[in-house]
Amino acid sequence: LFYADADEFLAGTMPFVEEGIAAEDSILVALPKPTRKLLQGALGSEAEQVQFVAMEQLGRNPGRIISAWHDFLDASHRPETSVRGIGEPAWAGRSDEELDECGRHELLLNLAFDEGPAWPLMCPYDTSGLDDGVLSAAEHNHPVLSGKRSRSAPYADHPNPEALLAGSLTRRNSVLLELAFDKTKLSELRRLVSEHARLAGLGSQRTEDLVLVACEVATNSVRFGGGGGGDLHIWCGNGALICDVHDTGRINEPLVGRRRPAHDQVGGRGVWIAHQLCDLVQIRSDEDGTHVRLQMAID
Amino acid sequence: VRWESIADGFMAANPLSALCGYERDVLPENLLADLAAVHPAARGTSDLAPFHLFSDSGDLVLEGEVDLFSAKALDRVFTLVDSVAAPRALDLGELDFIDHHGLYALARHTQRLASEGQCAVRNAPPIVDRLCDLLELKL
Repeated sequence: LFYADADEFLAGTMPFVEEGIAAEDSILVALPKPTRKLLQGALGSEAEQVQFVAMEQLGRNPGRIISAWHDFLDASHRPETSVRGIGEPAWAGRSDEELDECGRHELLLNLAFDEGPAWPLMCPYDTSGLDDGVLSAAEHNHPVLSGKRSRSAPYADHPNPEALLAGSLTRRNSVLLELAFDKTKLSELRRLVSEHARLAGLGSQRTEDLVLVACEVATNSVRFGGGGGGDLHIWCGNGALICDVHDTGRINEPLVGRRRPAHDQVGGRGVWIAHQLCDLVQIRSDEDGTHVRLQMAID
Repeated sequence: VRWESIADGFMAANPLSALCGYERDVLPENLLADLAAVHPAARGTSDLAPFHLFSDSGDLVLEGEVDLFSAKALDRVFTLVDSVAAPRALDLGELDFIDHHGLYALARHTQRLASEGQCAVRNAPPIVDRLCDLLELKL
């Protein structure tokens, strides 16, 4: 749904939600605060029949949104009850890096729910606040468009999985720490991440989270990274502390870490934990190796 | 290792201290790691045993760091120690770090002890509670 103002937003979303309420669907709506309040206000007492989620929290790291949709579907009683959702991960004011991850998230959504019963998910895009590049990518990523914008790029029906992890990351700023690690250096890695997180001003909880996540990702490099370890770089940029873990291995599963691991599942938890605890996780992987970049905003 | 664990429990309950010596060059590394782990303090073993599991006033105390590469040792040592100690509680107040591999290893033991009607977990660091919540895991 492309909308330019409150009227267009409600004209697109209200019929979709009301149709779901009339059909007694399970409905999850994940919107940033302005459009969430708008829709809640327009629905009035009917809003109680809709599960609202603050997208500015859930989608702060777009890499955890798909997991939340899986949770929602798993908790619903399909096929007896139908489901539908609204998700708005891209909003004006997000950084270029975040918007790039939002675009990748939207592509991965198609892949994540390719199998299994189809269900309708509406993704609103604010044409008055978002750049044309973001809007063009949205045209490319969605099978059905509505609102005042026509398709300028063909729909990517089945995106190449390799392309979903391809691309370069922004260059590093002044690096505060560079550490080559193997399994004998994980304790040192944890200590150094903790020191830099505290120096950067992260609170104790977020410092602990970053130490855990950096260790989880570095452990993956030791196990799967090809060379028994990797390199950690730490720096500050865009109001965040950034840890970049690099190794020479390659990730072939573009949905890595985007679904809650099953209780009896072996492996697959480290990247999922990273997505849950970090403000932004960027993964790029090709024949030259893998970068997992973790960001924690310095509040 | 079993004897050391029994001795540790005895010394924790009595006015007795002891210094134990083990020759690194002749004993297997895994055994040295387990021996170091069941002592509340061990010199020259930080490369072998990143954690210690010992008795204190009827409780078990887990101290130090547990990650993927020490989770198996924790599993092994916990099996030995709780079979001789019958702990009332597991104190995690001195646990500096645990990753999800270590947490699952720990949970297997605490859940088993809980099912046998013993062993509460005390003083878990906030990150342990958060990780348990995330993974829907009960210690």
